[in-house]
Amino acid sequence: MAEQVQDDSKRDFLALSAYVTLGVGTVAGTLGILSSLTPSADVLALASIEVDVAALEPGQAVTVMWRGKPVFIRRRTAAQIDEARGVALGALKDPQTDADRTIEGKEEYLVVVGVCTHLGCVPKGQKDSDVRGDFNGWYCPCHGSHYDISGRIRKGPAPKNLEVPEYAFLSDTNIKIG
Amino acid sequence: MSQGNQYKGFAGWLEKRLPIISPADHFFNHYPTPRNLNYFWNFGAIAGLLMGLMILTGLVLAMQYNPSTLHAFDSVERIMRDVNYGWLLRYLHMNGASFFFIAVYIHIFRGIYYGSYKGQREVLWILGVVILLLMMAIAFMGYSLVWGNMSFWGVTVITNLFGAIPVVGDTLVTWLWGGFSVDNPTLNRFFVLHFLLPFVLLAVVGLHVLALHQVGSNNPLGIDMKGPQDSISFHPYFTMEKLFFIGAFFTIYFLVVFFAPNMMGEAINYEPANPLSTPEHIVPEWYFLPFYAILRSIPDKLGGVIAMGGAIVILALLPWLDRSPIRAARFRPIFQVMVFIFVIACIILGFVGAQVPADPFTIYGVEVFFGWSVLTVGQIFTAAYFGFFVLLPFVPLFERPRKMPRSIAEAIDGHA
Amino acid sequence: MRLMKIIPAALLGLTLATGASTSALASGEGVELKHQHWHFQGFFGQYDKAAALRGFQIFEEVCSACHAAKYFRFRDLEALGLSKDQVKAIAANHEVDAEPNEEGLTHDDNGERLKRTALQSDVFPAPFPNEKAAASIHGKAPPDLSLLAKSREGGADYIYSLLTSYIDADHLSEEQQAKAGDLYYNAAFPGNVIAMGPPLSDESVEYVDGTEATLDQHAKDVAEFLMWVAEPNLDNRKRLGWAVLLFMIAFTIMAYLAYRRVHARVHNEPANGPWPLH
Repeated sequence: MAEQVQDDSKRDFLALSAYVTLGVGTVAGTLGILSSLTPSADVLALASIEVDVAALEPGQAVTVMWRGKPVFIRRRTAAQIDEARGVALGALKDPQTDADRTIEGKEEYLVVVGVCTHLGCVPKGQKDSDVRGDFNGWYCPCHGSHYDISGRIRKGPAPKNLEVPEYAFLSDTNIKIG
Repeated sequence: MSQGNQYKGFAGWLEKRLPIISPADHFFNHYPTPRNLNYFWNFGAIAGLLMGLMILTGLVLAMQYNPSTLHAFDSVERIMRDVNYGWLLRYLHMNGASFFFIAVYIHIFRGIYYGSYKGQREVLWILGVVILLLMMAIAFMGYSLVWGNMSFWGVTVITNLFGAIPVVGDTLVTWLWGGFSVDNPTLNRFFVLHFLLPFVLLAVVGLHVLALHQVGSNNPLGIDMKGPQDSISFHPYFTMEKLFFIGAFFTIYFLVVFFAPNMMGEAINYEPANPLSTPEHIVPEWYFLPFYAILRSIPDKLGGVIAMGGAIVILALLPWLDRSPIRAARFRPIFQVMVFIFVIACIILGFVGAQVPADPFTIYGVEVFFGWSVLTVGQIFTAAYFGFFVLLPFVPLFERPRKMPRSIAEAIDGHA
Repeated sequence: MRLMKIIPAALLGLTLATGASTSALASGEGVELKHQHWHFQGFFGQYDKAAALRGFQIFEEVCSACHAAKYFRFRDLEALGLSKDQVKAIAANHEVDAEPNEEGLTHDDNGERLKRTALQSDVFPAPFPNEKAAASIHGKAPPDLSLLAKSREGGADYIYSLLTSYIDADHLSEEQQAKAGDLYYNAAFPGNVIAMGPPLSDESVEYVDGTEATLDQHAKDVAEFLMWVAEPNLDNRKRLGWAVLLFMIAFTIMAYLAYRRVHARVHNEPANGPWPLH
């Protein structure tokens, strides 16, 4: 009788380990299959881009595509920088200084993702003929969000400032985004 | 209605509201299985599992594939190069088709050898033939999606077969293509059907299993179970055995996927489809070779198509062609020899289908059959293939069955 | 019972053999392949990255003058051990078609295609804008090389053999000379008459790594490179393959032991199914 019991537990242990191994294999396989849906190598290869802004005059802006989204690059005039820096933090919905949003020594250039933080529309303001909103920055026509010249939300339903992507100056006029 | 009461907790709660626990319980725990099943009885489960894997890998591949003649080949290469584990999914899917057919062919030969189409199993068997036909259609269309040069010419040649049908042939082929040659419309509809039909297959497999559980499993003796002494529970006995077999089979499958993934494929299919250049030697995938050999053995276009189609359809008639009341070939000396010849004929036809008709027939470079041409050998074994079915009704007239045990229990316990 | 165990194995073997036989078949007539030992062969074989990089150098300096490789991107070279910066530097030596400029133009006033410096993410530029342009110069469009090692019977052996099996006119019989005509005679090419002249000879390329520059070495290296371009995931595949294989063997052994154990009690436990069955 005792032998029988021992036998049974041994059998159960063997069966159990087989089932557990099967389970581990199945989970690993499923994760492998699911990971095929993450961004592929060709997508990742375009995850960072380089932009030459040598041709950009103060007051001009350029829009480039990065990871399927528009990125606004604006070379600001001295007056615009002063305007952006002159705003009190208390007046901001998403408080952030202009210095936090630009690179020191390169304050002239503002680089932001051109996607409204409300529901993903592309704000107006890149072209000279565009409506710039109440704060002379960008204006989202979808639900009326107003951004200032630092890309910060000043009025309207958007909860956050325009996102500043990870970027760096490779040379004086060559920006690497991403 | 009181059935729900035998399950406790959540199972009981659910069973009262949705009767899915009791059938599952019945399938696994109360499905009496003959005690004497041998290893051949594992290939159905293996095929089922492979079908699941094919649907799963196919689903994620379809999310990356682009069914347009301009992008199909590129998108497959993108899967192979850029998609995370894309190469693995593609190789699993591509070789999975081959191993699915290996499992199913063994399953079919097992059914024939042990007379598994007898004893109220006609519907079960016919559903099996439907599964085979569906598999062939799905595999054929799947192969075309790669849009390599063999894909393109394979589709061209096979769809042209329908042109052999009198009167409507040409119209039918144009309709199939959606144009005047195999082109974008063809690829698009093949993609849609290659995606859809596996789910139809899944449903037919469901019916196949349902029919099996209605009649019960056949067994190597071909004697019905007469009582509990002849049977054991499916779980854990056969679940465990199947688990082991699945492990062994998949080890071989993975061996091919990881170390020789292109072994069963055609090199030329890594060249994009080119409507201006036919490959020198058009060969279908290996699992079609016996049928392709039968097609080429008949010197007439329509005759060849009829023979090829007939070779599959005639399987469905087996329950009526075989008039012997005895199932298992081991008790039927003539039938036993016939089945062996039939299996050998299928394998040789496989070799025939891969070779150029006018060349002398070889197996791995060795000339067998006295240097006869591939065509001649093909015709002889096509005759053998159909001969099996033609002679079958007459076998009981000559055959003296061997002595059979009275029951499964007697056969086992008598020797034990 | 033993027979029952052998038959499935035999059937499986035969079915596999039938499959294998189809691919072993199509190598054309009159083709003499010189079989080489390759680093990437076998269960443990991996690419010889140094050889593949030398092969890339040959591809870049010689082959790419006529042949495209449309699935080969500069960034792929990172897998051969080059750093991002090295790859970037290599890409910077090449120009690719520029995207339409501000005015939406792709050609300048002289009708020349506008170009820009290649990036790592770019495909290695093709020598001709399209197949017809390639064919108009060479008589026949030179095939794309990115899948050549997989689309030709013999793979790397074929590429090596092709590059080393040119026979010059002096050594040809009159019959062979007549067959070749204005083209070239190659013992490894199906049909033997090839439009491509011998692309490589001793010292075609001066190797960066100082390897002796013989035709044999060039041919081996370029074949290694083209195999890698055709099947870049081979190394990963085999590595993962071993892990999966060992896992499967462990699982199969475990399932086998459990199965034996469970079957030991077959005799004393009949099914509790409903009887009679129907």
